[in-house]
Amino acid sequence: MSIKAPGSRFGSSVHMKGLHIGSKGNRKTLGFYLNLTPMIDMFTILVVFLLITFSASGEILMSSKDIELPLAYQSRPLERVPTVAITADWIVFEGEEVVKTGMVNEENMPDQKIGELSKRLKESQELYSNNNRPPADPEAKAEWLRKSQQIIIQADKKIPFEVIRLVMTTAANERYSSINFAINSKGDAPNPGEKKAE
Amino acid sequence: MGGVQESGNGKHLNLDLNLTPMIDLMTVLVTFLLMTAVWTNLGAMKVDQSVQKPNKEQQREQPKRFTIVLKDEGYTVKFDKEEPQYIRKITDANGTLTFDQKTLVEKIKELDLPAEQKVVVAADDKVEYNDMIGAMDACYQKGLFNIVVADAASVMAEM
Repeated sequence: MSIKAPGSRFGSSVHMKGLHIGSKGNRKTLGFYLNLTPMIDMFTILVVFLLITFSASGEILMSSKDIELPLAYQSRPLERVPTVAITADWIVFEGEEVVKTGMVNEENMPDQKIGELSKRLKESQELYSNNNRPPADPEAKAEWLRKSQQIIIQADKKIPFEVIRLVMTTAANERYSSINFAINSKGDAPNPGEKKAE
Repeated sequence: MGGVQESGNGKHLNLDLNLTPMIDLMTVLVTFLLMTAVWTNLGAMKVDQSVQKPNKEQQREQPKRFTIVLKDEGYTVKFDKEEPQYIRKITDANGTLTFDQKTLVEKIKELDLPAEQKVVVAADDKVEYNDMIGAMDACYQKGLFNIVVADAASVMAEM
């Protein structure tokens, strides 16, 4: 099959200047006008809506398909602190699988302590202390201490309380005494005018 | 397109606003915002599990304690030295037995407790995490944020 030089293209001969059929001598011309106003209106509304709903809090927790968080009306904002995720299969600390959830029960852990998790929490606590030295100012020191004790538990809603309790006890033993349970916000409470969580 | 043009003797002004850069910017912005949008509204419910020994003054006057115990049968609610009250599970629209959170909220409202009231939420080992959060949410809805989580067995022994 021989190679042929390309002929004229359709696009280059069409002037996009309105799409009206009218006579110009004997020749009919195509004029094409695209009305951009509705598109700009839509874009503006979309940009405003997205800017209003923009939130960076979703960056704090990685949502997993294995975890369906419980719903609640009232909650506090999340902070970036160490996270323990509990799925039906694994207990995960900061993205690393630590122990199988099925193994976590009082029979296997009579001392109420999850050994592997305890080790990771201790390392994390040491890392925080090494990276952030306690400030001399008493107020700043109290804030430093408050932050060092925070932990998030992100658990699936079907997890039995026994597992949650053992994770909490392990965390409290490693000086993570301020525990935040991650939830999905349900929206406004059914009784408006109630006190809001700070 | 292309700015202000003066034609003829300068009496007629033809003003065209170049919309292309604006549309480009809008498209990039919409794409960026859609990609970074977070559609789930996450939050946290805080409990303080620190074990602090009460000082002598605190030991002398024991604070009134409000306890919610979650067991297989339902909630057991007890305030200070009053008799415990039971809120049985109810059957929901799907025909499954669930904790009656609405009645619990009503009960807390009835008690009209101060905001600093300490609440102990104690759950049985088999109770699901979702139900424990439900009880905590009922307290949060009524302005009680000073919550401690415990296991049902130890709390029932004290009751």
